[in-house]
Amino acid sequence: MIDNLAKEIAARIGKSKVTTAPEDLVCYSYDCSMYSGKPDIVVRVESKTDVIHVLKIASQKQVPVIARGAATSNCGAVIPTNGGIILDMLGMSKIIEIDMDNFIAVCEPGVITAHLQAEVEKRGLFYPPDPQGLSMSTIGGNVATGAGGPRAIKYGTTRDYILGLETVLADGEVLKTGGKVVKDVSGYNLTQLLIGSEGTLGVFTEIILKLIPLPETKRTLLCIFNTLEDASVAVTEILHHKVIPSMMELLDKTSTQLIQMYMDAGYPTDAEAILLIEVDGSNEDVEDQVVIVKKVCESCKARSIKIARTKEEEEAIWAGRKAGFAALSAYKPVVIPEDATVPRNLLPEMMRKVQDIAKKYDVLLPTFGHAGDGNVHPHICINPRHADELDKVNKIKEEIYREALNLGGTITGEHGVGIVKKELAKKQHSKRSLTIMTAIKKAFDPNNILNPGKAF
Amino acid sequence: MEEIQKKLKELYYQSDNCIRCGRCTTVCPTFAVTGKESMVARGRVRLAREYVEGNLELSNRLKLYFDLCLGCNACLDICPPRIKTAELLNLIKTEIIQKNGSPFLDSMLLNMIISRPENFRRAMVLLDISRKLGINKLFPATLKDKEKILPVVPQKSFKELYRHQSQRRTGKKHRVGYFTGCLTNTFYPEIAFDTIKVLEYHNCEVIIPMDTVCCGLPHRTMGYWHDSQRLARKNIELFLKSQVDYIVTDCGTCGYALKNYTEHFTEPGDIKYARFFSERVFDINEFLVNVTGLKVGNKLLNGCTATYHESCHLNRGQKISLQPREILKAIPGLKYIELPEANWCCGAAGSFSFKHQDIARKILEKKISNIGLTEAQYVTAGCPACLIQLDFGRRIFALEFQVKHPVQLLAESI
Ligand SMILES: Cc1cc2nc3c(=O)[nH]c(=O)nc-3n(C[C@H](O)[C@H](O)[C@H](O)COP(=O)(O)OP(=O)(O)OC[C@H]3O[C@@H](n4cnc5c(N)ncnc54)[C@H](O)[C@@H]3O)c2cc1C
Ligand code: SF4
Ligand code: SF4
Repeated sequence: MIDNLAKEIAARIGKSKVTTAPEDLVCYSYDCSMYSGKPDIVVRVESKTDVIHVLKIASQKQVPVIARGAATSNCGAVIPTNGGIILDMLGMSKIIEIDMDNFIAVCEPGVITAHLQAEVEKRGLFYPPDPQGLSMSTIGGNVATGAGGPRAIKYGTTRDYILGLETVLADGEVLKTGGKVVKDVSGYNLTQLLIGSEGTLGVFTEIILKLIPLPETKRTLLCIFNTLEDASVAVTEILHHKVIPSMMELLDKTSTQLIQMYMDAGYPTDAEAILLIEVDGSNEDVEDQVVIVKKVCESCKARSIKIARTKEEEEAIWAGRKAGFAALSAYKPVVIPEDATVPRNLLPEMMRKVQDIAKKYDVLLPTFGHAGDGNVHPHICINPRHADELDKVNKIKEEIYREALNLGGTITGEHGVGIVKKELAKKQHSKRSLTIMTAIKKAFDPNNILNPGKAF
Repeated sequence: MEEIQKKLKELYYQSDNCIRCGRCTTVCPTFAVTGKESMVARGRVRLAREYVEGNLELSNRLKLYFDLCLGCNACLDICPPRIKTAELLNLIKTEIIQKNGSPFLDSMLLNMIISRPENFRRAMVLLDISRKLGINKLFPATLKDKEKILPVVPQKSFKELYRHQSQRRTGKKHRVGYFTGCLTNTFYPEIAFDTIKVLEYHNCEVIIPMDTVCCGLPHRTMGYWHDSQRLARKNIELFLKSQVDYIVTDCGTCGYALKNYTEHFTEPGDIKYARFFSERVFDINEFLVNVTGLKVGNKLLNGCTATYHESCHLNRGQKISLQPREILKAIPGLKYIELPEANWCCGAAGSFSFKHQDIARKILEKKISNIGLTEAQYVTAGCPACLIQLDFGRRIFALEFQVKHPVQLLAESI
């Protein structure tokens, strides 16, 4: 049956794009989560037409289809749990247009995020969303997971930059939503519904993105605090003083210690918290913001404040944060980044709770947070060869998310649900909203062939 | 066999730490030109693991996938848990060969041609003769494409030419043994002569053992451990006998191999000798800058421009990256231009460019287009394998530049 299916697809779109070789299937059986599952067929699509053909055939035969970008998902969103067809989107990686008049980029889904950013920045424009895997991840994957990063505090996430989508639906029909217009209030906003749908509603084949002018300049500050509370007060105070940094990252002591063990980022190892702050804007504006941030941090008992003077110093300060995940991975073989998000004023409370949980289970839970938006990433670091450590994982997770939900937060700020957080998602959403989501899924994909079993 | 099993087990165990973050996708040249998951460290590690665990049979496709890694180690540099993908694959290949005989296509080529410099040279001369007679056109299509990579073979090899020179020099500060790499010997005797000239200019007495054999790296990377051991032993012996203070080479690949001879052995006695030997090995660029102190000549190379390509075996293999640039920048009159993405592999990777032409060519194409941007007149590299590949790139993409080893330009100033 699989052989026939593969042959049929190959006959339509070309033999070289289709493989069922076990050596290839193995390579498309994982992502950045701990899960894996083998597909039956891998198809490297190179055009919208290819996608349409595959979906038409798959819907006839009712075989699962999973679009795959760079497989950096850390929630198992791209794992073929029930076999089926992997659509390898990396063959669709053209930037179709950068429209300098409308500040818009149009691209295929397989474009690597960092590549798009570099291209628009060459032209003085800016695509701000900055999920930390952006040098690997694809724009299509970012849209499908609603990815965001540190810049969310000022600039928002992927969601805020998608103006339109071309999506191939389960039966192979093409749906166009949105367009090159910035204002559009006709009908339901299906574009926003498709963002974050984790490949369960359709396969994106073209993406229209909003760009903004590249800020003239930026500056970085490294602020060191003796207590978590002082750092948290500083975060709130900075915002009260009407400065919205382009990034404001909070790292706890365990994180700075592990990062320093991995590389010398110039972080202290004895301070309870550090804040990495970047402000951007026009030259004058940036000078003003630096002065305010510095003053506020001083009044919040910052132990020391370092302002980067050169581009190199700036990069050095951020290099530590960027290497965060790597540093933890070097320390323990399995690092599970959790992704709780709470209202931003409750961030210190959440971080304290995480510390309590770490103590209770006697594990290290290094935590970095996007301080400006209430998103914290406690990282569960374990060695799977030690059975007792593995046992703890689920309990720790459960407690973290119970606390987050108690504080009015969510189980995932940016990584998504995939298969990893399905049970948690059921807890978070009301019965009614689950019914509505099920109905939406049915309307798009009546036979449940698109990435079945993911998202909620 | 046991040693290999042990090492393989270690690396297999370590590779469990791959977190599938995908960072290797940002630097792996074979992934950049194919976009296929089987062509990047993340996929290769998974394939290796599934094979070791017995979930994948040793098919021709799997063998090919194992063979398609350049061994450039770009992934190792960026990988958070520092998974040694290339090394893992080499060990697997070694184990396969030991278990099943020689399933990889290159065993004959290796043993007949590469392990003895004279044979290598003879094969290349034959190639040249057939070119002159035009019978290379009668080669089967696959071979015809492959032989185009190689440059014109000079009349005489370095070793043949050198025999006619006087070897007596005394009263110098350092006693240096020159290791003649097969490629330098056959294709670039002038580099060897310039290396000697430059060493002598830096107050060194140069000893050249004529019986040196291949450094053994081709054998090792293709899985022929016993051969590489035999070759290493022979080279070590020769240099111990010639009682030199240092062993210097102008080939980045040979240098990398010689510096890692300890890894060829498991017996403590062997390892001791290998370590003694390896500690004395220097790349010529490194030797001039870090040991003797660089001295440039007075002749001006006015109006000349040069750029520098980083050989993987020099840069990542030996962490030699600044020294060649320092040399080029110091040469009077020469203008140095930095090459964009200088550390991107040129696609030569030992015999890779012969075996997997399509992929190698795409990798090379990117290199050549970056070279084009510099508009440099000389493209330098510290490894003759890269020079051959870059020169091939120059011919197929019809650019005008000359390939040179940095010491050649330095020698010109003297
Ligand atoms: C080191 C590291 C750091 C990370 N940091 C962040 C972070 O800061 N913020 C963050 O949000 N995430 C982060 N992530 C997670 C991950 O990078 C994001 O979820 C990213 O958006 C996934 O993109 P991808 O191209 O790898 O998609 P994949 O992992 O391949 O797929 C993810 C989902 O998108 C779907 N999909 C992919 N392409 C399409 C398409 N064309 N049409 C429809 N559906 C599609 C898939 O079916 C799947 O459900 C990080 C991951 C790593 C490894
Ligand atoms: S960079 Fe290392 S850990 Fe990350 S996917 Fe590649 S091999 Fe695995
Ligand atoms: S050694 Fe080079 S070719 Fe091989 S996986 Fe690593 S980066 Fe890719």
